[in-house]
Formats: sequence, C-alpha cells, structure tokens
Amino acid sequence: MLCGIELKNPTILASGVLGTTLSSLRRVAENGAGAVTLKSITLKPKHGHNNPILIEVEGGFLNAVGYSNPGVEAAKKEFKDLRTINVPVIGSIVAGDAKEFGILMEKISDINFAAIELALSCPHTPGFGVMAGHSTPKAAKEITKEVRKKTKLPLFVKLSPNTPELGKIAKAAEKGGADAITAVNTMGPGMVIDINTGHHVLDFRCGGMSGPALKPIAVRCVYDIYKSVKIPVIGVGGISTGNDAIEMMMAGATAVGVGTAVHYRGIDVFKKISLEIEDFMRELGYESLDEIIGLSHKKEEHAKLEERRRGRFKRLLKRRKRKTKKKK
Amino acid sequence: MEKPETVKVSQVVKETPSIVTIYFKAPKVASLVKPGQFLMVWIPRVDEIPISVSSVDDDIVGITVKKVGEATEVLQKIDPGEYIGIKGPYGNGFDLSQKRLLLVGGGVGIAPLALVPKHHKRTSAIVAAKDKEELFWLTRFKDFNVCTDNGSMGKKAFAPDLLKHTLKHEKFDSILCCGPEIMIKKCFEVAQKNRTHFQASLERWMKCGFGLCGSCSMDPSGSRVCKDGPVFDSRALSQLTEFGDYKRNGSGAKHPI
Repeated sequence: MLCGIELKNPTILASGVLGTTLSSLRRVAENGAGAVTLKSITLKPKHGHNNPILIEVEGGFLNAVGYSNPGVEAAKKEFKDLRTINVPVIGSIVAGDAKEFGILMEKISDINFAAIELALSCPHTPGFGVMAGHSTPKAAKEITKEVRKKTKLPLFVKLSPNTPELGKIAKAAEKGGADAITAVNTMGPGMVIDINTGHHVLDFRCGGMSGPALKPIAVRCVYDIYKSVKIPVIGVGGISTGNDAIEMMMAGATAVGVGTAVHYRGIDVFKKISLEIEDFMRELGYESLDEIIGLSHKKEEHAKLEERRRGRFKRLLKRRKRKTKKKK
Repeated sequence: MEKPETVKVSQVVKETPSIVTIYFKAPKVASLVKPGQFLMVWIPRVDEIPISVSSVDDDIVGITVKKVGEATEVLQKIDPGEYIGIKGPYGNGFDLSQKRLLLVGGGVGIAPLALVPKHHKRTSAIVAAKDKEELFWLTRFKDFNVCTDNGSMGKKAFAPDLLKHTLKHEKFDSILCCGPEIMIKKCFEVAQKNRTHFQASLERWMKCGFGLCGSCSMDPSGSRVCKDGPVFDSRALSQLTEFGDYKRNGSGAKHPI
C-alpha cells in the first residue's frame, strides 16, 4: 500500500522511460510493474531538445530530453481510457510556476490517474524544475499547495538530489500537502565531449545522470528524507536488481522507481526485480516488506540505544569501582 | 557504450539527385551488422538520426541518405574527412532463414535491401522509383524487375502492382520490403492475399535508438521500432493498428501517414 493505492509489488516505472503512450505503459504493466508513471506532461506541446538526448557514460546514462510531450490536450486523448492498464497509473506534470501547475492539474483532472507526481527537479530544461528555481523549500511548498487545492488524488513530489536542503524541501512539500516524496531525479548535470571533434555530444550540452552511479546518492537522499518527513518516500535512482530495491527500502522507501535498468535487463526488469525481492525475503526469513522498509533507521536507533545503555553501564561500573575504592 | 563514436567520412558518392551514400571505416559495425539493422548517426551540433546500413566492404561501412529534413540535408553536403558519430548497429534486421526471398524496395528503400544478396543466394528484387533518375544500385541485385511511377524506365507501375504481377508467376518464401509506408502497406495486402510471408522495415520518430525513451513505440502493443523492430513480420504487422495509418512526431503528437 502506498498512500492508499494498492501495489501488487513495490516496483514503479519511473517517469521519463517508456511513458510516452498508453500502449507503451500497458506493455510495461504487463511486464510486471506494480505501477507506471507517465512521461511528464506540460500545458503546451514540447518538441524537447534535438538528438542526441540520451548517451551512456561510465556508471549510467546522461539524458537531456527536454520534456518532449504532445501537451495536455493531446495527453487527455491519449490517456483517456486507462482501464486497459491493469495497474495504477501515476500522472506526472511539470509547469513553469505554481499557477501553471494548478491550471495543468485542473485540465488533467478528468483522466483517471491513481496519483499525481509533480516534477520539481529536472536539471536540464530551461523554465522547469531546478532551472526554474523549483528546488527550494519555498517553491516546493507553494507549488504543492496550489496543486493540492485542485485535486483530492494522492500527490507525489519528485525532488532533485542536487541540493543540500533536501530534508527541508521534502518537509516543505509535506507541509504543502504532499502525500509522498519521490526521491530522486537525475543528478548532475554532467557533460560529455567528443574528443575527435571537440563538440559536446548531448544537444543540450549537459544532461542529468541516471543509473548505477546515482544509486548511493539516491539511497542517502531517501535515508535523509525518511528522517525529516512522516509521509512515505518512493526511492528512485540506479535500481536494477532486487538487492538494489531492498537497499533502497531499508533506507526508507515504501516503493521503488525503475527506469534506466530497462536498458540493462529488458522491459521485464520489473518482474525480475519483484522475484528477486521475494527470493531475498524467503532466504532471510522476512515475512513482510514492512519489516524491511526503514530497517536501517531502526538498526541505527537500536545501535544508539545499545551504546547509550552500554555507556550507562560503563558509568555505573566506574561509580561502583569508585565506591569500593572509598570503602577500602 | 551507447554513445556516438566519431568516425571520419572516407568517401561520399552521389547516387541520384537527392540520394548520397556516405562511406567510413567502422570495423566493429562491419563485422556485426545484419541486413535491415541501422545506425544512429550523429551530425555534431545538428541532430542524430537512424539510418540503415546499406553497404559493407571489408571494414568500410556505407549508409545511404535521402534528403528529407535538416539532418539529412547536412549529410548530403558532407565532405570526406569530416566526422560523423555512429552508434549501433541497432534493431533486429531481416529474417533471412527462408529459402527464396523477394526484395521489394521503393526509392531510397532499396538501400538496406541491397545488403541482402551478400548474405543470401536466392534473391529476386522489385525496384521501384518515381523516375529513372531516382534509380540506383540495380547491379547489386542479380535478378530484378524495375518499375517507375512515370514509366521512364521499366514498367509504368507502382511497386504493389508489380508485386501482384510477380506473385502470379513465381513463388517466394518471404517478401522483404522497405520504402514509403503507404507502399509497404499495399504490398503487405498483396502478400496477405497470396499467403506469402512478409517482412518490412518501418520508420518512426526515434530518439535514443536503443529502446529506453519510448518515442518510437507503436500502438497497440507498445512495440519499439528501434528495439523490437525496425523489421516486423506479417503477424506483427497485422496487429499494429497504427501501421499505414498514423505516426507520432518528436513531441509524441499523432499525424496521419
């Protein structure tokens, strides 16, 4: 369960990968995803950046797609009938400011989404996300509040890892009415130059980094956010295997987003990860995911308690020693 | 690594007024590529587009390009010594396991098919073009029939008509088709009527080229042209409802074909 939404497994198709059409989302759902997220929708159609938009680098991929999407009116037609998809569909929206987010939310309210994700975190599209200053506590609260007014659906707020204020931003989104935090978007941005010609390779020059190199960053972000908010966290970033998913959940994620791993392991990566999670649980004797979610925090608390107890015990011992010395 | 590797153009040959073939040294591609597979070709600071491999000679690879947009226009004017980036080969390629193959190519669509006779001995071809000026590489096919829209060379007919005529007299185990989608659709209908196995290379707006972005996925199966295609067989084609009907542009908006 995630914000009242029933998930048959904790894997969610992350926004931006294969989420362009109804057919594509349905195919991902049929390949075992517990839920699927649309590629973000904007008010007006957007062509996005020219190619190349996605290139492989050491440890993952750099992308600068530039929010290409046919705009909200075309999206309303494309995703009119979500019933053919047998898992919850999360609608992702991006806009230039809080007001535009509100208008967009109103426009998509007749699509039968299970939840709405607000992307406040894209690092490579002028006028949106990080480049529009959405990655601050103030903006996060303002935008979430505005969208909250327009919908009763669960609201997920997707954050960027590229900020020292992550906990504060998550808290601000929670105050604004978010029901969950999706953490994280891509990191960077990074850049690749072709040394034969001296030209940068991505059309937009730089792009956000996803894949295995992002995983430890994402795990730390989820861990920090879990500490600072009470709402659930969806962990995204570099998850390719069941073990990766377990690690993310131990950091505090209730569910996990999977994107780039579709390239490494195929569209059925969702099925594979789910089975691997089950295998892990069986082997280590876990009965429910609840035992795993946030386990690392429990362990830390436990260890601290132990230390305190040991400290107290040491102090007691010292006192006793002192007393016995005095008696002598 | 799914990253463009830049190679120096070694030769540019003008095939017709609107079509050129660009040759470059790419040993890896040369050893891996199968007919029907494509490369993502990056023109620095312009764009990156999918282009089928049309020629392999030792470690020299060729791609044949018709002027259709900005990127292909720049490619028309490229000079030997300049760099282009290549990624791939990508896609499934044609299935050459059948005994007797009939190749049907329209316009620049004969380019990827021209690679087939090297890999398969028993091939015949139908080569179609608007005008005799737009015909090229006929000598690459051992046994071929030509038709043009205006009758300036060969029969005055469209490819589907010539295909219908050919299938009346000869039997083939598979038809391999490449060209404008309307032509492919009509040829497919002819093949279906004749109960002949059919496979065609389709085009959709590609971005990443290796199956991650979803921009070339087709309805209703979500088949990605770059990864699950670009070659689809009779069974797949009869299930693709958008085949011959509409396609999406770079933003994902639908347009009739």
